[in-house]
Amino acid sequence: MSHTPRKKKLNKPKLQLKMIGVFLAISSFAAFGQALLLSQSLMEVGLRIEDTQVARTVQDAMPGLLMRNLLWTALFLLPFMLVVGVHVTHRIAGPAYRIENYLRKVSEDGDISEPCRVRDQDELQNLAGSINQAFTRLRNRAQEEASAPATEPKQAQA
Amino acid sequence: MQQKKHLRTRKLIDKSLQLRLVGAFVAVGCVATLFQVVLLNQSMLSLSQSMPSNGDLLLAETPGVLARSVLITLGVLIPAMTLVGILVTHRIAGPAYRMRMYCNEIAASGEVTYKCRIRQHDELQSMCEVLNEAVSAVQRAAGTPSQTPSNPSAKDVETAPSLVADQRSQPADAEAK
Repeated sequence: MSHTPRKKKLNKPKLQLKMIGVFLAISSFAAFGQALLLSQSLMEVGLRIEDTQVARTVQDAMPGLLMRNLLWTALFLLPFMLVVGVHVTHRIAGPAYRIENYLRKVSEDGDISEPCRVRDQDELQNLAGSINQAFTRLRNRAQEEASAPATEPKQAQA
Repeated sequence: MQQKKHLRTRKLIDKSLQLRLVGAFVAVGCVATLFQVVLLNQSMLSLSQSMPSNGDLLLAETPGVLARSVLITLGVLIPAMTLVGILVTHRIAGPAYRMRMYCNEIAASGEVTYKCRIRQHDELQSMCEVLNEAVSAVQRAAGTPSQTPSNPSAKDVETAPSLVADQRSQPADAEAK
């Protein structure tokens, strides 16, 4: 298959948006977890500083500092995760969309002259191959059955 | 009657697909963690420079604090992401595997004795429906009468291999009757 870039960014919006949601949830979980741990550790460092005024400065600066960092993280991560999510889910949603379209076309006219094809680097290659094999086998079996009554009488006469 | 929920016994149904997605999940988590670390490191640097005294102490403690936090985060994150990844990818790899097995059975026997069904909450539901329609259409076009039992509620049923096996025996039972 050719390596032409995909025009549609969301082939199967429901599936892709769900996966992108998982990506965003994971990155948010990681970022917040990290922020909480660092906040706790730095508070402990602040307590170890003997000069109370300096310690208070560190402790006072911490919430604002963490909030700013989390905002930057969110600003960077949101578009980044969207791009990564769309790219990763394309490998599944793209072939799923293509296979479904192929099956829909077959269900309308029953024509399997063209095999189902997906891009080389995509997932679900095996499924497309199995569908082609199944359809070919069904057609061949029907042809065998259709030709069987014509040959059977000759064999009976012999 | 409420159907019994059958849990998936195989955790890695399609290893290649699932491990790649799990890898993507872990990578995403690591990027988020490391980005947070870089930002906090920079903030600590500027904070220590703005402090009237004890700035060196803060700077000296920062690498240890960051390393410990990253280790704890990754220690929790990697197993959690792997579990989440496997659970999420089951919803895609499971139905894809079942449809593949269904097609392989047709390719092996040349007969369609039952309709493909996938679990209610799985992805690729519409693909499964259209696969059944396409199989029927190919049978009609090839001149073979459809042998599949009509089962409009198939989609709403939690399916398991045992259920598929039960369903497979339906046409044979019907013929016997």
